Amino acid sequence: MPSRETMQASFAAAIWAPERDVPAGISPQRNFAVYRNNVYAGLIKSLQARFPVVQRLVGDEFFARCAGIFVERQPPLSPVMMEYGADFPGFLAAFEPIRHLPYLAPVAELEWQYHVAQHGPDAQPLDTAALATLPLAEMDRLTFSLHPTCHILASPYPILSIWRTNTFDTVTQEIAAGSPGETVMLVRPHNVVLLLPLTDGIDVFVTHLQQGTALAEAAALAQAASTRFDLAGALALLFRVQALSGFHAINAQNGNSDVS
Amino acid sequence: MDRRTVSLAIAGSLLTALAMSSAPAAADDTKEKCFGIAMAGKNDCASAGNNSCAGQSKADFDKAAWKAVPKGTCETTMVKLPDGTERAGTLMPMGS
Repeated sequence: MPSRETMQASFAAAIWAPERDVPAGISPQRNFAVYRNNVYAGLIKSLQARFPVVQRLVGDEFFARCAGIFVERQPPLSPVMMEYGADFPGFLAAFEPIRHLPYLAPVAELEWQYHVAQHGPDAQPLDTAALATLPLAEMDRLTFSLHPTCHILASPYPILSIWRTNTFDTVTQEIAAGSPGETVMLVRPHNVVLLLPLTDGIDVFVTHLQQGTALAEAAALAQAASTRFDLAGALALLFRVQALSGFHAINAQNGNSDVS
Repeated sequence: MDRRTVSLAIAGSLLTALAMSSAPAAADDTKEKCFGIAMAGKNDCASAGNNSCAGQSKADFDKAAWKAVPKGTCETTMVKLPDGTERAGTLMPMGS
């Protein structure tokens, strides 16, 4: 009788190598096949739960096959199922049979980021009352911290429109080929993940704020990217969805900083 | 524009934005909970009974799972069930 460790290692290895014989001490072979099948089915189900829009786009049967191949090639590295599927969008991008559907991988990435935002950390919104009392002269040098679940995803494809109609509509709306790409901000201020299209320079603005660029400079860069950029509107949007969780003011006189 | 003008323009926008966002939160008044219309995994928080939070419903159009929709639209939101029949959302969890 092999040791328990040897037994477990060969058992696990045999799950991922269907051509190998079942591990010593397991019989009959058929029972092991049932176990292996359940492992695959469970992982495929978790991918189905995580990528429902991709599944709807390619159909259940194709998705199951495609997910099965992914599971075979990239079995989970961690026992935490929540982390499984991060590589699925990349897998789709390189998957030959869907090369004619180049928007699938970007939509999968949006679904993955939705999942990440859903499970990301909570944060308090910034103290707008404290912000309003800052000296006016300090406001242009403000920097902000964004909510930890805030993520910006830019795509050459209309990923949010595709996601929306496939998530909410029983009969999906037609999205014309060649529709302009979309930049999406994901944030989960409370219990629901918000997905917002960022247009007219707001994408540039938020991206720079996220990198720690000061308010005036981020606004100037956004203005340069789009003449329709509206600073007050952009900030109001960020306050409203609580995408900002703190600010950092540099005192004009002595260079000291206050954090809130 | 000199630096001071830029500062004031930025400050003006910031204060405008703060004023806009400190208006009474209207979100809750414009939405209603609509049961029976959410696709699996797309419900909003706290269904009645079968799961505790957003994105946890297991079946499409689960009668006990809700989604926030613009006020007044719930009972006219039609969903097509797998058996081909259609039904509208309801403001209370549906009996099975």
